[in-house]
Amino acid sequence: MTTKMADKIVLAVFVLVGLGYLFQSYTIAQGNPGAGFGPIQFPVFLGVALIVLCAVEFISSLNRSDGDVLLNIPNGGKLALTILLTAVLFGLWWYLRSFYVVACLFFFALVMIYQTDRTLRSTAIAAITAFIFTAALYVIFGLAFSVRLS
Amino acid sequence: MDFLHYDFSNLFSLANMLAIVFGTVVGLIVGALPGLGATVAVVLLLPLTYTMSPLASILLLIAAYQGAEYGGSISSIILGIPGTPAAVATVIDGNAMAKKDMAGKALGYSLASSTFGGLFGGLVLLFLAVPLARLAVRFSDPEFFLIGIAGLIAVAALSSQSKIKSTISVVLGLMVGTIGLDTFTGSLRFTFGRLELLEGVGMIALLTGMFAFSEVFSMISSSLNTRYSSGAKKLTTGLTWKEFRAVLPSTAVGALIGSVVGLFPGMGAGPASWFAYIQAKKISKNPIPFGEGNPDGIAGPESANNATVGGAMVPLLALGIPGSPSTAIILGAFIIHGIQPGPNLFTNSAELAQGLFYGFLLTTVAMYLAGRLVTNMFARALTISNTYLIPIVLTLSIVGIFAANGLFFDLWLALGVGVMSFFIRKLHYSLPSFILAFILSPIIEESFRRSMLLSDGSFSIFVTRPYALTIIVVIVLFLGLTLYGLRKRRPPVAE
Repeated sequence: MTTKMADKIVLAVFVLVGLGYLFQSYTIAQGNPGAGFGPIQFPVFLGVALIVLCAVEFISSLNRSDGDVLLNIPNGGKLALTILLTAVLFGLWWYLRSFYVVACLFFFALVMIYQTDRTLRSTAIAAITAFIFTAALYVIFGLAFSVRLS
Repeated sequence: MDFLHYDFSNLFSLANMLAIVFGTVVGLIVGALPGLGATVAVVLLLPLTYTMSPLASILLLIAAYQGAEYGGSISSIILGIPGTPAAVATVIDGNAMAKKDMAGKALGYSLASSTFGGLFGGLVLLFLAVPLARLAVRFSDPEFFLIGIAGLIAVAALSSQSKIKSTISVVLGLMVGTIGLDTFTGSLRFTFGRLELLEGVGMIALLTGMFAFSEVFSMISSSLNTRYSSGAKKLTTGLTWKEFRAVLPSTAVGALIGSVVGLFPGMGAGPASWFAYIQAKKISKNPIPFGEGNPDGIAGPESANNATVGGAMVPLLALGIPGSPSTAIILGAFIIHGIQPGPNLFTNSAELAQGLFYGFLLTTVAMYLAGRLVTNMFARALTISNTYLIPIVLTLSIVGIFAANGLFFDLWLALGVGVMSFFIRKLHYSLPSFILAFILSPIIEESFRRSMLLSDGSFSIFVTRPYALTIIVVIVLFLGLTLYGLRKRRPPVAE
């Protein structure tokens, strides 16, 4: 995908956000009838401004001839895995109500994903580092500062 | 001069001193790591502040902010890779000097001028915040509305490659700022039935997602297997008085530029360091050409980027308006402790305000001492592989978000914001514009609505009050200058 195409998609999403925001504003307005500067005028102004600005940006991008390059995301697979693992961390943490064990596994899994040469030695180092790091988190946040993470 | 009468025993407590030292060390390390800047340093330390006293909390974050601004120069000079956006100008002469086997000397210039800039910024804070707050006490809703608008215009006009995209970012930030309970009517706006959104979108989750998560995703995408090496260079940061005196003019000019630039929301240390570099070029008497290791090319920008810290704290403390993403997080720390920065801070929490003034100067001294003693160690921190650095930053950010409110909702929000920010950053939308607009949104809307109530719906309230009128004139002048600058920069059209 090129940056121009991505730009158009993002602008279309923003216009949809603006329309949804305006629709919600009118829903709020129905529940708050009355005179004066109420809770929806500012949102309505913002919704309209967003749509207008997106239109202006879209029109000016049509006249722009430069800057259309391929939108390249190196390590896209690893990035997607990181996002997925982060979501898994949140889910497991919520389900088990235990942060430190899940965080230790999360840390270890990330290091293993990022490492290019996975040997027994590097795996052991990653496991030890994950354990030490999580233990340090527990000492600093859990014990010293009494921050509850579950 | 009330602030001169201060009981210093409140400041020199063990907790405050430890906060300053720890904040400085973390700031230096995080600032030195390429890609991570002052904002990430402040975000990472935020969860520690929940159980600390307000003064120690804010000093911890300010120390990290200061330390990171200097830390950025370490990687700029040694590796030729700026640790922070503000250290880009330092690369040119700093790295050139390091290549001549004078890395320690280059760091010495950087440290001395950063300290000078930091102290100058601290004095600006000390002497400007109180008068500005006294003036602000006379302000009412119309003035606060106009100040908010001025801040938005400055942010939209000065950041991002595209002015329209920057303005779109501002509008999006304002929209997100409207989520939550409307304090005037009690109606729920855009909460979609979620109780977690009753008080609005969590600032810490939003900031961490936007700056720390998206930064981590950028590192995965661009420099995952990077492992920097600082080599075995001698990195003692010594500087003789004669050497410092030679760069004093460019250091002083840099400090002045940095302090002034820091006062304006949205500008920050990046532009300040470039303005200072340009001025240093004009006034330098050193025969070494710029770009080949001229000390003035290091001293000017380094002094400026540290001076912006003090400058940026002035509107935060005096008006409650943050000038940069880092000060927005510091504002978050104030709010966590139930303190609202602004003109009333100096009457309601006078002791805290005075402590911050003098504590700010102490953070600069701590930065100098830490830089002198352990720059060698910080330079070694650069060799941490991103394979390990990314999980460390990601996990710490997650801890920070959850510790703020104990809400799993905030974690999902930050993840979503992080992913979106990663993509829209690639398309040159402005994250600082978004975040400053998000913070200004309630100030602008509530001030406007109160003004309308005061004036029975008449807009004349904005032009009949002298202070409001003055602010309007400043806005018009600023807009005029910006448009003039844009017109001047436009290339001539070929016939």
